[in-house]
Amino acid sequence: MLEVKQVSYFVKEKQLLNHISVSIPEGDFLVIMGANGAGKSTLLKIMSGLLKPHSGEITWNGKNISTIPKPELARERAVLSQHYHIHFPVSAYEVVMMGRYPYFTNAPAQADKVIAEEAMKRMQVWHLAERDYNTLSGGEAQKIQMCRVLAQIENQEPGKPRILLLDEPVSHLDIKYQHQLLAEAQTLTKHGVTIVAVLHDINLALKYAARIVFMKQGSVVAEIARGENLPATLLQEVFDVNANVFPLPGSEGFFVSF
Amino acid sequence: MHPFTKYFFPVSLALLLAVLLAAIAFGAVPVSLQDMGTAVQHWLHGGKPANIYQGVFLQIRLPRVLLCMITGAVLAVSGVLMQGLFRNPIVEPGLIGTSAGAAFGASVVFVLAAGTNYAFLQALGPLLVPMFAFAGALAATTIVYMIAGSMRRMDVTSLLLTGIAVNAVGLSGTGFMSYIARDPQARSITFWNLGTFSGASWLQVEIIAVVAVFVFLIALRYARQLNLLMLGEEEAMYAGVEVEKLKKRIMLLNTAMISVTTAFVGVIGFMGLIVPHLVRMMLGSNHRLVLPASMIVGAVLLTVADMGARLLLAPAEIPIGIITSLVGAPVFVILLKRMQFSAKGGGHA
Repeated sequence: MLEVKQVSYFVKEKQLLNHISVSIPEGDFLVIMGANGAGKSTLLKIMSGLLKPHSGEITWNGKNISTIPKPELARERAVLSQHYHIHFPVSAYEVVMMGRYPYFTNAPAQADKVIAEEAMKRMQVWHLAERDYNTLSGGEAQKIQMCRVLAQIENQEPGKPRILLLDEPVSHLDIKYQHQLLAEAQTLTKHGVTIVAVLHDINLALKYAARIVFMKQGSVVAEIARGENLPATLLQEVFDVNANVFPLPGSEGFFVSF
Repeated sequence: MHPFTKYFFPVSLALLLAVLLAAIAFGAVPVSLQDMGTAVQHWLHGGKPANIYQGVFLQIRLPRVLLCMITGAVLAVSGVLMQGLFRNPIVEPGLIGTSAGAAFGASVVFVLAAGTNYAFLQALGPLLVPMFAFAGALAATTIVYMIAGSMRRMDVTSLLLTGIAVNAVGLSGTGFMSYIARDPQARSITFWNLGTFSGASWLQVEIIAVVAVFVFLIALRYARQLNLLMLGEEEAMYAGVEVEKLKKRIMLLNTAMISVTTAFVGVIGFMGLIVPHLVRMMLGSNHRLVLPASMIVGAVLLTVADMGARLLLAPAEIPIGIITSLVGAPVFVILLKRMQFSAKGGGHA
């Protein structure tokens, strides 16, 4: 259980987050949506323990996240962020293996190699293993980084809680791989992994999220669970564009046209 | 796994040995392998060298070559650490003001202390210049660190820009010292600013060897954290690295390394740039390999450069910094070009 309790965060005078509270139970798939500058990435960084909130707190299974030792935290939560560039020649496989660094001190064990390989096979990038990371396309690099965080949360301890934070994980992917990546994340939730993702595509969010949190100017304006009614007026308020919400034939879901 | 990895260490170590012997053998006074053997035997039994060749070998050539090798290794490792820290392969150890600060400290001694006869300065003897250089280097690095550190979390860009400013101050300080210096002093500042191994002594070898061993052992322990840092500072933190702590320790290691080498042999540019680059081309970027490999390659290259410095205009000597800069500057430009081509996607610096 990850709990965001009354969190506020400032940069200089500007308030980026304003008394935000969200609770995310184990195995949840929460998607955060909002316009640019709404505070989505900041909230994700605060959830990850990278930034300390100026007021409020983040608890991870009852413990304040800032009190958890960093190496321990690294085995329980992984973050896919938006930076992909590496200025040094390094193979794709080496990047994925870095996800296993929290688990070994000298050389990777056989289990680490198996986990790295399986992650790459699941994301269908095993053929890129020996490629120089810097020669990959944006989408390929994004998939390799996803493999790295998948390898990082494979902590092989049944029952140990795990959380995966994804900041715009599909921004460089084509349609097929957008669905592949999010479906992979959805599968993880069935194994108890908690997923929090920032997405820009409302229809992707509606398809994969268990819940969607809508943010505007540093505040949470609405929280919609799967199957709940999605008012078009809410979307207009959050994104400042006209939206039409249609029921998705043959399911309880919706799709949105802007 | 790069194709070279299997052969790299045996081949490079053999090369190191070959360069060691060649560097001892060739010089204004040639030393034969036989002389080396007898001299070492005499030395082991506590005797005096039997002829001038053996004397040259033991008292001049051997300390010089060893000092050169260790300095090469230290400069290369310093380059690896700085580049890892700044996540940028075009960073040079001198970039954050350390070298300029050390040079200024030493020039103060050359100009101001030379004419005085304070007992406490005399007592320091051969350690006088190194200590002032160390003070200067530490001061410069601390200033950079404090100014950059005050800009919220220390980010790379502010660190580099502050380094440029402090470098400029250090250089103008050294420039002022040469300006007010009398001729012979000015000459020694100039020579020292360009780097030279001509004054090598066993004491220097001993001091730098201790520092080098100490620093290398610590640096190797940070190899994995430096690997993670390649992904980005945030990514490294997510993987459990205490990035701020790591930065401080690497900066401290770097200051120690650069102060000691700068104090003994002056400013030698671009070694920290060329060597890690060559090594990464051959072995990739895993710091567990890059750190030890850079030591060996750094030792080989600087020793070869020093042979050039001694032999090209023999019996006169060229300051070694001139040679390393002539070779290093084009490499720097090539790297810069390549970075522009590959600069895609996010990430800063």
